Amino acid sequence: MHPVSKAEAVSAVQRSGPAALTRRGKGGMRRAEALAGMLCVAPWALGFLLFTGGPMLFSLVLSFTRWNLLSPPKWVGLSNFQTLFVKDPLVWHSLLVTTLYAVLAVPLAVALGLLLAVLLNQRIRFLSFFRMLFYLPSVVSGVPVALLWSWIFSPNVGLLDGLLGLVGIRGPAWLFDPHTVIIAFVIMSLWGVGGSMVIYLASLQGIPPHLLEAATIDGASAWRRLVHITVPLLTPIIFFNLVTGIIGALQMFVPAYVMTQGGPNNASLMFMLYLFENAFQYFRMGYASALAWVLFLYVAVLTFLLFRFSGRWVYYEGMLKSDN
Amino acid sequence: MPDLYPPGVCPPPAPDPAGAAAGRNVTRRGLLASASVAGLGLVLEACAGGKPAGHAAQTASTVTVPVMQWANVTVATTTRQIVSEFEKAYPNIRISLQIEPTTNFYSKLETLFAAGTPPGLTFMDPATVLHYASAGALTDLEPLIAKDNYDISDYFAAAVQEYQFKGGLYGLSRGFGNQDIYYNIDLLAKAHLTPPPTSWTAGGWTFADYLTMAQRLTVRDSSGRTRQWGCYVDSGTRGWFPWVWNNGGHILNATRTKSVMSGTATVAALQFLQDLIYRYKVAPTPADLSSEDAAQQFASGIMAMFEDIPADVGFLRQSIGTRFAWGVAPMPKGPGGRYTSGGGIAYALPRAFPHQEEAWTVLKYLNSKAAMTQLTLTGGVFPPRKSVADSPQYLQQAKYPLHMEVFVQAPAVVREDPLTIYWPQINNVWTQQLGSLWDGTTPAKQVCATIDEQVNAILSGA
Repeated sequence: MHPVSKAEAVSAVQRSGPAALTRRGKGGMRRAEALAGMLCVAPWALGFLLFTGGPMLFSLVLSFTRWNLLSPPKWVGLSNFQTLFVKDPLVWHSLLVTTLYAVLAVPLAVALGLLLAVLLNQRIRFLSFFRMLFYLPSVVSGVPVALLWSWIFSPNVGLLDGLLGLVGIRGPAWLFDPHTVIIAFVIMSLWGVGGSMVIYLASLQGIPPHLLEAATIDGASAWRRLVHITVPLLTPIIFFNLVTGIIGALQMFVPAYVMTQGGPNNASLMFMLYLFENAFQYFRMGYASALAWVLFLYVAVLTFLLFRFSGRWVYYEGMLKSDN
Repeated sequence: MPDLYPPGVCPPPAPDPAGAAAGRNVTRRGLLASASVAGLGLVLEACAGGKPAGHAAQTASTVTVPVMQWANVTVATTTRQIVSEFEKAYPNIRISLQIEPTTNFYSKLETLFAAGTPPGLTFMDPATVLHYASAGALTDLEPLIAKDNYDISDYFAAAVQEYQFKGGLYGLSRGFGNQDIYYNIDLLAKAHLTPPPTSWTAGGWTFADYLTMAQRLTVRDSSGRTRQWGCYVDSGTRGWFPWVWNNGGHILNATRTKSVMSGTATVAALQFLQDLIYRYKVAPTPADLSSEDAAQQFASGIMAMFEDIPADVGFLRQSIGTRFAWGVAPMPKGPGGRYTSGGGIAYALPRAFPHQEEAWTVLKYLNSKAAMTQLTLTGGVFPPRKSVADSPQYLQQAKYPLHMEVFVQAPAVVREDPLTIYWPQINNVWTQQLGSLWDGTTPAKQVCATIDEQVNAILSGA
């Protein structure tokens, strides 16, 4: 056995000793961690691929075909998109109707949710009851709500026209009048404002009280405290509700399907309803897929624009003005 | 000795052979990973899918034929009885009766067809039969009829024709409705009015007679609010067809390649219907019908005349009871003659269903004279079989409505729907554009011009 130098001994230990084990251990640990992380995410990832990503890809391919569900799809290239953009006036009409609905409904819902939250953030009697009362309608949704509002809007026996009649106002025909049907849907959409109200309430309670106290000491009125302290601190939540509200409003379907079927005279023909009609009533799955992608891109562009310009009015806690 | 653990490097933990043997080396990460693998396995298992929804279990000795249809409570009960009797007669065939609501019936059916698992038999209206038959998804029943010498001549000719496509027959009519006028005999007597005729070939009973009767039967209170309507305008697709035809108008041209609703006679007929609501105010507006539909208003005795189909007889009998006498009359006659629209529903046999013979056996039984007689006694089905429609069991099953022979004569004057493969889109144009006619905002001439423009765009394949 030949004598080993100190350097050789250190080198040998580093290659095979605990340090080497540590380097190999670090790499092995990282791989093990990565594997464990991937395994944890795997069920969601598989679900996403099977139920969202995969169907989205399939829909994209279908949008370039003509498919009636009964015969194999036939490749038609850009024909569906050509029809959609150039030949089908109902596409633009339904997009306009849907956008009008979103423009009216979303800001109203944001404002009303905020107002309710501010009111229900006060120290009043039966506060929990009132919070429950305003939140409860948002738990009920879908077809039962649409049927309920069909009755409320009935020109003859409906609650709304009945109440208007008590004060001598002859109510409109609501769902039967092309000029008022979208307004009816907007009113109906405020039924679910309790959901956003709860989110605002949670945010309101997160506002540092010392800011409000300092403003009060400085003589700021309640209105000024609301406008200059509360609302700016709430802008991230307002932004969140604005984005989700617009995405939801542009996909409105159930009320139009259940209550008016797009009438009268296509005045309430929402884009999603038109998409549904093409897919399941006209057997034009390929064209309906093209419509779906157009809606997706429309919503994506609007959402991008919202994010793009959010810096001008959304203030995140800790962010300096110069960060905008 | 060199430092084996340079600064910053922790020594590995001491081995614990006893602990390893006891399995105490389970880490949180390992647990999470195992749970994820298990979850993944569950997801994959779920995605593997079980038996297709449309095909129930088959054994070596029995075949199950799913039958998909809609029905009200009474008809469903009778149909289940018929199914039970069939299964006693044919122990090797089971029927899986699926009563579905009408709202999403066709969407569900489409999904089953697209999945390759259609039911053995399914309800379809004439337009849907045309669509599926043109795609080759339905079995041509002609060879089966020929093979078994099935007596198709017992069916009303119109009930057979509407399911024919390119020389084949793709649906066997199970109910053949037609538009007629129900009327409240007591209200007519109170107004000293002679009831309408009871035959489709009778003279008189013109559009003008109908309007005069409606005006005499409309009652308003001192505030001008209508308490009793003289008549009803059926805004459904088959509701306005007969008025157009009877006035000499047309909807599509003879080859069904062009919409011709701007013709004078068609415009006049639709304008007449709008005038019944808004000029003469003898029929309720759509808003007036929002709280109580026309059938309910007729049954309540606040509507004197009501255009509807024979299949509502059961509902009306139940609702009216013995409160008033009521009868049925043909549609009013115009310069074009006296016709009516009709269609009803058929059983169709999907080609992809693997047990064609068994499904055909079931179809023959469900449409047999005996089964059809049982169904017609519910009042919810108008039989497409002449022998059943013209039988005492059908005609004399109850006191009212009087003159049920009007239903039986109607098939001879039913004009076929102007069907094309674009029917769903065209029907939607009619529904949407005529909406402004029924709500009184647009005159018929303008509505018809718009319909022609939009329907011709569809028919040209745009």
